[in-house]
Amino acid sequence: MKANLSVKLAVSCAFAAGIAFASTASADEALQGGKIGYAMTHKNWAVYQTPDGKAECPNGMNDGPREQFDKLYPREKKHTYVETQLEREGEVWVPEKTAEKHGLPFYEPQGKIGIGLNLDGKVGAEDFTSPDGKVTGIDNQIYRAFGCVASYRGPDGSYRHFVQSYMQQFKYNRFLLELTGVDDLANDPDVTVTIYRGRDALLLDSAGNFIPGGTQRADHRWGKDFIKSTKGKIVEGVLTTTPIDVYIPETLARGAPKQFVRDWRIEVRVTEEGGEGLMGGYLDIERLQNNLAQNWATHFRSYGQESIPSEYRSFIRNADAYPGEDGKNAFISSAWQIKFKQAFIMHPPQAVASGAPGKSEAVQAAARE
Amino acid sequence: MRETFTSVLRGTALACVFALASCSGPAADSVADSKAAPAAVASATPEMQGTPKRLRALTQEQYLNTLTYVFGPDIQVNPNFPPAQRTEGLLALGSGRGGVSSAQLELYQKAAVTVAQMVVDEDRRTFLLTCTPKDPKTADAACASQFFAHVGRLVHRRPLTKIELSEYVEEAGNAANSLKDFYRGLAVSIEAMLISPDVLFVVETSEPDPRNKDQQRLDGYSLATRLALYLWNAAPDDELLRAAEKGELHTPKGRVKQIDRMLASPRLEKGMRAFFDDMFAFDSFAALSKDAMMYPVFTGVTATDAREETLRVAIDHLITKNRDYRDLYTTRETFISPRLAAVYKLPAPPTWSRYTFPENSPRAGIVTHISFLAVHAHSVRSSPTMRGKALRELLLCQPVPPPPANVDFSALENPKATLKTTRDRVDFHLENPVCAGCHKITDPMGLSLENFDGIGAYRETEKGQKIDASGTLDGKAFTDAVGLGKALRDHPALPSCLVKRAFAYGTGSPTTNTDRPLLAHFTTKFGEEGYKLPALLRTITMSEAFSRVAEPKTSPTPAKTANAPSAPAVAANTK
Repeated sequence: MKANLSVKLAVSCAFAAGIAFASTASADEALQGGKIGYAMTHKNWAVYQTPDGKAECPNGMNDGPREQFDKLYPREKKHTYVETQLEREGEVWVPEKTAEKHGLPFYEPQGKIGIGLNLDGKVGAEDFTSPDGKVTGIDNQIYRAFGCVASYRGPDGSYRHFVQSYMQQFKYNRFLLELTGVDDLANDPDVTVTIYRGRDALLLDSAGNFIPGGTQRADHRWGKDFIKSTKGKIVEGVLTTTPIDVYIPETLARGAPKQFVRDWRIEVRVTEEGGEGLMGGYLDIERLQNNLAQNWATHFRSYGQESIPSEYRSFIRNADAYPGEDGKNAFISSAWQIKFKQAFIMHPPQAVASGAPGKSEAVQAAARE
Repeated sequence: MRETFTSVLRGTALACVFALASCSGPAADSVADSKAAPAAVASATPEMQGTPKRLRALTQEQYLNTLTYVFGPDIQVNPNFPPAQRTEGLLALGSGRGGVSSAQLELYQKAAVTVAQMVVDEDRRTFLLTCTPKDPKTADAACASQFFAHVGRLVHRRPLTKIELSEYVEEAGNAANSLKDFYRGLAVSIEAMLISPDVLFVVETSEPDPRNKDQQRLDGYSLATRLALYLWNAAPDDELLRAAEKGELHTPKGRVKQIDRMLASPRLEKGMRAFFDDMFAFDSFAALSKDAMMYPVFTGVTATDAREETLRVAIDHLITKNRDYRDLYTTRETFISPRLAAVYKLPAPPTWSRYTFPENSPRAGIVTHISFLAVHAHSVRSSPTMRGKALRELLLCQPVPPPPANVDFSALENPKATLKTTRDRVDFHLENPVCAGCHKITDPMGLSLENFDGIGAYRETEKGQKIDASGTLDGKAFTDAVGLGKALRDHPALPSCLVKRAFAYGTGSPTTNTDRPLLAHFTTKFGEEGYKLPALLRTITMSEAFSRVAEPKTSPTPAKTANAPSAPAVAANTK
């Protein structure tokens, strides 16, 4: 604890002095004073795929904006501008008004195999089982919406491509994890996990690969919404966290800069070099639809054959948590496959260890019961 | 017309370059009155014959620094001048050797064209030109003359002769009339001026020393240029040229005034960065590459930043803080960038920051910087031999003989599997009498840096075996790199090597055995003054040895092409 304080003081000193800083911490270690930081380098929706996709998507991939437009408005017929382009553009933003009136097909993944976390601790009828059969009750219903959309499938789906590309290009989407109170990175029953938005570019090698050892300044000014702490434990190198409600930065911040996630938690194998695993939680389907529409222009969606009106209807069908005032579920279980690289996290003075430990509404509700 | 004019100048340049060894002046009497010298003038300086007059090419940095002074910092060109050949430990000494190829002339011309166009650019001409033509569509000899007299003096490092000035004005006028544009005409002559051999090459000229019979000294303008290139890595400024013009640089009072002004100027930083970049052989960074698989964290930016780190520390320590030179090898103060921090495994703000390695850090002194450790290592591994050799040669001025032509590397390249560490492998050198002769003076030093891998990242083990970083330096034993730094700091050759390099760099001449008493005197004075670099620079530049010209052993015919006239003669011509 004493060494940890030294590091914090040193870093604080750096900010206080403008550009100068000094450290009494021993160098050449990623885990210093019980603290280690990580910067997210990969974030992909957890989509289970077989090599040819026929098992989970027997009907093939879904149509995107261009294919649907051609089907809705055949070129041999005459259409007005209002009846075609304006109507379809409007449906992206107000998909609930369109219902299924067009009768366009949308194929959701079949089968019981999926990737993700068991968010509610139960094994439900719609839940998935991990490919190796070891994990049951996986809550990842958003896979139903995304699993047969080319954009979200690896290795080079359009969404996946741009998410990774923008991870390199932009700083806004920097997602940091800071672990404090770590005695042993292999096994520690009690660590504190704080998330921040970072302000700096990720460290790359000469081939453009992410590498550990970079420095990230935690955004304590404009990124306060992102700062949240929770408890975690490390068992045989795997860190799991207690669920909390958080905001995570969006990959693109064209319109909607952050995504609200309920019962967010991670299950990540951590080392001094980085981490890899899963992140899960429940997403507000209205906000998710709005974020997708605002942040990802039609050309992105066209490349990846992604129809937001069709996806939205899938969100509604598969939403599985947190009913709204109308009694219908308003949130959908989600999972991401994530990777981190170790990074030193710097804080301005008097801002360390901010973000009080939080609890998700589910945890609070469970406590009340 | 332009081509013709340029060709003439090209021819002149080549003629001058190949006459390099011939630029000598007549023997004569002496001038300076050392009786009136301030204390700073080394009146007790041992007698020395002086250094030869040099003809050397301006380096790219000197060319650009001069343009920045004359035309401002927004005149940005990247001329890619070829580097000089390292000679006697310094590139500065190599700039006086070799010829000029046609490809090199093309580079000079390309740079000159770019600069000329920028100077007459509509956005700049209003403040870079000292006058406005009566009619921008025709020649204006009065305006052109005013411009070239002003700018020509600064880039030629002396006033233009009447002939030179009239040539520039005439060619600018001819081009202006042909092109119907005064400014484009002016650009033609600016281009010609910037590739003039008198601009691109420093031709030192001498005059009789009125105080010392039968001895020569640099004339005022050559001395001004030598001072400016040494201390600022640029041509003399207006004030220094004025001092040269008035003959003040040959009076102790006048010279010390100018030297103190130059030492106090922020431009000293650029001058000393160039010196240490040269002394530390940092031109090696241009060819530095590390295996990306082995060292993914090391990129081109890392290399650039590593060079910058050490230069920043040198300038901060020696100039800004005016500290003991020897402490440069033990100081824990440094500067780090985010890229360097990734190798040092430290947090760092996004810009350059001061940083102090803690007392328990394995790093102290510039020898433990990434720069030194990475440059003197292989692309995939460390090298105690390369590091030890560099320490000897660069910092202690002790040349290490090259390996014999028939050296057998097999024992090192294909070592026994049982040999885990680099120490195990290089110990072979010391067992083999053929190798041991040289390796015993390099390896024991280099092995103390084995806690740092091929890019300078810290490590405690190699292939699972704990690294033994003990070493010795001329009988002094130590256990790690910090101990090496202390041993270096206390080594008598460390300050004397700096003195040797500083004198050779400043005069552009390799030192010889006959210079030993002088260098010993400088070293003693350096110590008496606390091993402070500015004091050493003052001692050297104030010494008679700095301006005295050695008599050539033979008397070749003096080159008559581009030699500058003596200061009074030029002044008369331009009146």
